[in-house]
Amino acid sequence: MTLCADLILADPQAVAALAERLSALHRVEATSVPRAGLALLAHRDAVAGQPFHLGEIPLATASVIVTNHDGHQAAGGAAVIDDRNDRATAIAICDAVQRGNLEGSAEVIALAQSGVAERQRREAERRDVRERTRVNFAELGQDDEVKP
Amino acid sequence: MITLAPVWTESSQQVIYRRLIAALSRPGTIADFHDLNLGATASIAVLASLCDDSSMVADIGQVLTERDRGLLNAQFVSADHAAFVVGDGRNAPFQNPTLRVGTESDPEGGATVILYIAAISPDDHAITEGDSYRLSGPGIAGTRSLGIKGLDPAWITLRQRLCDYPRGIDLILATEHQCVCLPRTTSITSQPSRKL
Repeated sequence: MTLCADLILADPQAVAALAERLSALHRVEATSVPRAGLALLAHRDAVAGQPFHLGEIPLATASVIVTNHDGHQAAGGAAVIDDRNDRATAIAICDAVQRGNLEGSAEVIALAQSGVAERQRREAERRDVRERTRVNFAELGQDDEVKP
Repeated sequence: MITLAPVWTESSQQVIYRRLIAALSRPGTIADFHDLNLGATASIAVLASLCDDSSMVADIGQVLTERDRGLLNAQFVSADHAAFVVGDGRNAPFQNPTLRVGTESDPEGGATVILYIAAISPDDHAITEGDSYRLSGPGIAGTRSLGIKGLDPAWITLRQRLCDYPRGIDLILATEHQCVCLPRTTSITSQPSRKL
């Protein structure tokens, strides 16, 4: 998984707070105007491999360049399924800091780890739900067959 | 978290667009963006309000920085494919430029050419050097005078050559904070005797 995929699962308020701290620490410039809107989700059908659009999804995008006090620069970006462009901006700042190994990257990685933990928790929860609702289709209908 | 110049915000772009439309409907009148504190030149303001990610833009004068290009988010193409051409009016147009002029049935295909110039004045007096032009046509009651500093006259010649109504190009001349629109319907006559 990418850093962005991990950060999107971390606590949004913690990500925003970290991005605020990082932008106070470094100079942050937008390289594209942060936008939020709808995007078509492109898919390919599994049989004939034909492309099709599954539907519309909310999408927020941002890209930034972060410069530290020594003049070291790093670029970062994010495209997240969300309708808030400030969330994409916060993740883009964290992405740039981590890519450039700038001051604050350890905090970014720690926050990303919390996202990894959240993903593992959700996957475990889903596994548990699947186990509890497991149906053995091979046994269905064997006991209540209508005898002539 | 990040500070964007006001020119890139929707609210500013709406104001720029309204002023641009007003200036386009009254050729030769000056749209002033100074009060908006846009943090960008008028040519960037015009592009920001007119272009999106589907717009095809040519930067023939290398007047846009890499950052401007990223923020515009337009498709950068050669001049012959561009709907919007941006250049430096102080330099003569490149040799035999091929610009889109539209067709009889699709005149909207003509390019909008945005040129950076030094100064413009509606009354010929506010600028101390440059050229004086007399404008007439739709949107102008009688004639209107326009003083322009920092525009190579070859651009006006090129415009005359390309404009064959309804085909043609639309000119937008932009200074640091102001712009003036010269659509293809406007007749432009140089007044050499009144050289400023």
